[in-house]
Amino acid sequence: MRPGFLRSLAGIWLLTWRTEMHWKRMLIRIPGLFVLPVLIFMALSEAKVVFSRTSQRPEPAIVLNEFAVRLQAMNMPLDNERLARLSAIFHEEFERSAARWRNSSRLISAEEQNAEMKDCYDRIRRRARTVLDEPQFVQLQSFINETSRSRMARQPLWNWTLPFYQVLLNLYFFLVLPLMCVRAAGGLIRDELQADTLGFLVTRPITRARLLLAKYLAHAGWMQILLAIQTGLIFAAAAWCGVPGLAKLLPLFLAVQFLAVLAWNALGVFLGQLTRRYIALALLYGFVIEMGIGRIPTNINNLSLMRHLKTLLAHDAPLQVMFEWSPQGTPFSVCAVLLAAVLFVGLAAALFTWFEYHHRAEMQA
Amino acid sequence: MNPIIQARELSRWYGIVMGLNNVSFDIGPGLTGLVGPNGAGKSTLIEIITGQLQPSSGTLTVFGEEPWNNPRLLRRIGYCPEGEALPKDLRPLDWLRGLALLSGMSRADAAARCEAVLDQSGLAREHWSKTLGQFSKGMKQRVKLAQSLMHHPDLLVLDEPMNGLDPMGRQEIAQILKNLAASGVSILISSHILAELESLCRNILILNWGRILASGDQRDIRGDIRNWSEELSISCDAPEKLARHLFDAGVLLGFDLSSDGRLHIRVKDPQAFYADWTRLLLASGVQVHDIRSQTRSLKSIFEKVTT
Amino acid sequence: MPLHDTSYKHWTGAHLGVWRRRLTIARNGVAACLQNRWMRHLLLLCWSGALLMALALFAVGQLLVADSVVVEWVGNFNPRLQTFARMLTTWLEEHPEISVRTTQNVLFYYFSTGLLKFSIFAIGMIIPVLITRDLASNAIVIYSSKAINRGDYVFGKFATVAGLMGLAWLGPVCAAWFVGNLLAPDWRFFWHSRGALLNVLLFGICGVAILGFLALGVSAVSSREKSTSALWYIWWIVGGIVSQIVAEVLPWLRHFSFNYNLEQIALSVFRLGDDLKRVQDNIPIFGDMLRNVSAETMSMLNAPEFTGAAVASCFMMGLALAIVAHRSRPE
Repeated sequence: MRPGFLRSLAGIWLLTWRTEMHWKRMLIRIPGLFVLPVLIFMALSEAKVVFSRTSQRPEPAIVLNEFAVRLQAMNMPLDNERLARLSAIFHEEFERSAARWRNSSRLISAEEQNAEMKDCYDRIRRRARTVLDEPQFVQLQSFINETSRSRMARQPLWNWTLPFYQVLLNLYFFLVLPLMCVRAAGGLIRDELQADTLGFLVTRPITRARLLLAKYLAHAGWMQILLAIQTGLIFAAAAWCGVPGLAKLLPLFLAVQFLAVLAWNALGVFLGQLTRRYIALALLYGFVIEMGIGRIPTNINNLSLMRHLKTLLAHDAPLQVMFEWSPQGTPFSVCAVLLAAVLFVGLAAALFTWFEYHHRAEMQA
Repeated sequence: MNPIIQARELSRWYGIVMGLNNVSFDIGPGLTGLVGPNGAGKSTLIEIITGQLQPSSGTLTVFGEEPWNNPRLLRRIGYCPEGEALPKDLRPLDWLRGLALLSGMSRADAAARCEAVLDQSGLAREHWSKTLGQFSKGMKQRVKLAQSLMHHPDLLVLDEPMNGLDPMGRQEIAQILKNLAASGVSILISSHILAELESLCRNILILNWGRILASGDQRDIRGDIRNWSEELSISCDAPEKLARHLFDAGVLLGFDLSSDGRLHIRVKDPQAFYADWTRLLLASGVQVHDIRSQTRSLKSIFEKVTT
Repeated sequence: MPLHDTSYKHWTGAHLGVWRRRLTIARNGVAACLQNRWMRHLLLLCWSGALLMALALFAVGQLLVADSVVVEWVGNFNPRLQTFARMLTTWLEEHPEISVRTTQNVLFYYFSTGLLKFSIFAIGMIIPVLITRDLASNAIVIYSSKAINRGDYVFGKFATVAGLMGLAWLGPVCAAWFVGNLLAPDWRFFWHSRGALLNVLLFGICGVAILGFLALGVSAVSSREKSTSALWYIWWIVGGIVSQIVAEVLPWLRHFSFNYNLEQIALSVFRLGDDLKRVQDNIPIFGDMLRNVSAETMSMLNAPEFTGAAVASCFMMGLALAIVAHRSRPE
């Protein structure tokens, strides 16, 4: 009888999925899988209604009124006829600009918005030349320059698909997924220890390091399946609502999620080996490394897993626009994430080999 | 014969608490009992033997190797822990199959072997479809025993294996262990049920306060204990007459007459008494119906050694 | 008579009232909470914050005194500012409902809501102590064999949470008010700042009730300590994020977050919109500076979603109570 690693892995895999597929867990897990898709469905349905009702363009009447007040203050008031003609020009050109993105379901970046507004004002300027006299036209030019600067767009235009991306990324990918992985992986050895069942495993003819590696791989495999189903349901809800570009995004997202699950599980296993209060340590890691150091715009932010995952996701255009991520350094990010996973698992295995992890000590701590 | 388990100046402490205190012993093949009160260090010793703990100082070897993180050695050891904890959401066959694969068995072998050991440990087939969380104490004990036998170990280490079993169940398990011992498997059993160990094991190891108080054959231990006073219970026609005769012969430390008419005596020198007792009893002229030893039990050895 | 009566003997001594028994549960619960050294560190942090708040109130009070140390100190850096401060001081002395009441109301709003975060964090640490451990160790059966019923048990546990929140939240806030006014230049500060104290107490009672019931409910969900603790923190964090994401499209879903509900209740109790308007209308220079507050912020301050927050909180409290009632049955 030769216990090879693959056979050990098969044994741990059997124990893992049999435990997870218990009907009581399924009773909670299956409805849980539908929470985010239902939230997305509800949010997008409402978003479409809100989007169609609200105007996404600046109001031409307000802009024109400001110009008229300015001319009045300079003793160059507009007579009624010029005011009416100028009003028509403003409304037509603003409407022409707004029509470009009214029915668009892709996100319009700040740069695009500003470029379009510049074109709009250029068209207004050209047409207004035939309406205004010279001094009034000079004032119009200076007014347009000031207005362009003060009304410059700084973020993407609000679009009805935005809630989907916010739920998918801000809520699911960068919060729920890491929490789930770290919480579950941290308990791989700790839960067995506290339940006093670790003895059955460590007395098998397998080294402690291999045992931990087998548990990690089996658990990561299970999480990959579960989270792939979750992602599929989320995308299905979004596709049902008509969000475009999902066919391109889904394979990229699943690939990045695959790496993310490996890395987060590895982190969880390592933190679980370090201390029984691994959840608190994970939250501390999240605040300090991911939300703190990860946002510093220097090389030190390479310590953050999320920063690398954002780089990988930035290959999707809407995400690039919305979050202003850059796909530069993709090979480096892939290597960094994989290296992090290997490093964390290696450290965890080393800790598990050196230290005893005794039930009595665990319960007394 | 080479010892299976050898400890030399073995110590283990938990902070300032001594679990094992500089113990040295040899355990040979066959059935050996590990006896001691709560907190004596039995579980600590068992956990070191099975590679779950490391010694703080000294050495312990099993089959000549140290057990910690030693898969080659662990292949030869089967372990049945004391605690009731089992993965409550798994069925016994699923759990055993997973452990069998982890031990290196092929899928086909694992499936067959799991059923065989469950039958061997006496778990009725009607319970196989339940989850471990639904099992009674006794059923859990049988499943734990089954997982320890799965990979045909050379050394079986059992921590309180009879816990939760009814008298018939204990008898079944005892028979299984005897059969295994007869087939060449060495067995180390820790138990509080001294009567069971007494009948199972000739060799015992007595622990208290982390120290070995006695080890070896039960009879040899008894013989080594100084001031061992043998207690006998005799049923006869004239207990007062017999008591007076034995007292005059100078062989008694004391005697007592119980309400059921039996004479209970304590003899000074058991070996001398047994060498001469036939003559003493004949000379008394009293008809003796039966005679029983009260102190030939493991319980009395244990009490004598630990006080 | 050689044989004694071995039949069951009832206790003939004095019986404590039911309130003493409830408080015994609460006292033991609070003692268990305080055994955690991180909890003690957190409480120290909260009371340190109270001390800082008291000092801040002292400094603000000193600004209202024409020849105070603070105004003299300001003059070392900026004489013009010192002159302005002296002018303002005279005016503020004549309008204590603005200088004392409004100032303290605004300061205590931020202090209360800020310290509430620490309270919520502390509750997450004690969630296992409430009902989770009793479920895991089957202590519910022991409790039910004593002279208390389920209501007494739940009340005792609720009082544990209330006691902890008193130590971590209400206590420091009230102490800051008392010490801050004690260090004020005039005894009338106590009278003029009574509104702020009443707001603090009202918000505190609401907060204790809501968080207390929710904590009990979460604690009773499972017998595993890690699960219940994690559930509390996840609800807090995820609720906050969801409420931001759905703010425009599904505004009712924001009430899923208990933190959001408490914020709305705080805004309704402290009525910062009224304070802002009072400052805008009455205080020169400051009032003009505050006229540029965005319409969105003004709308939030003047019309907090109290009804939605109250309904959602009551619903969640009812659900929590139902969970506790079901899980605390001895069988």
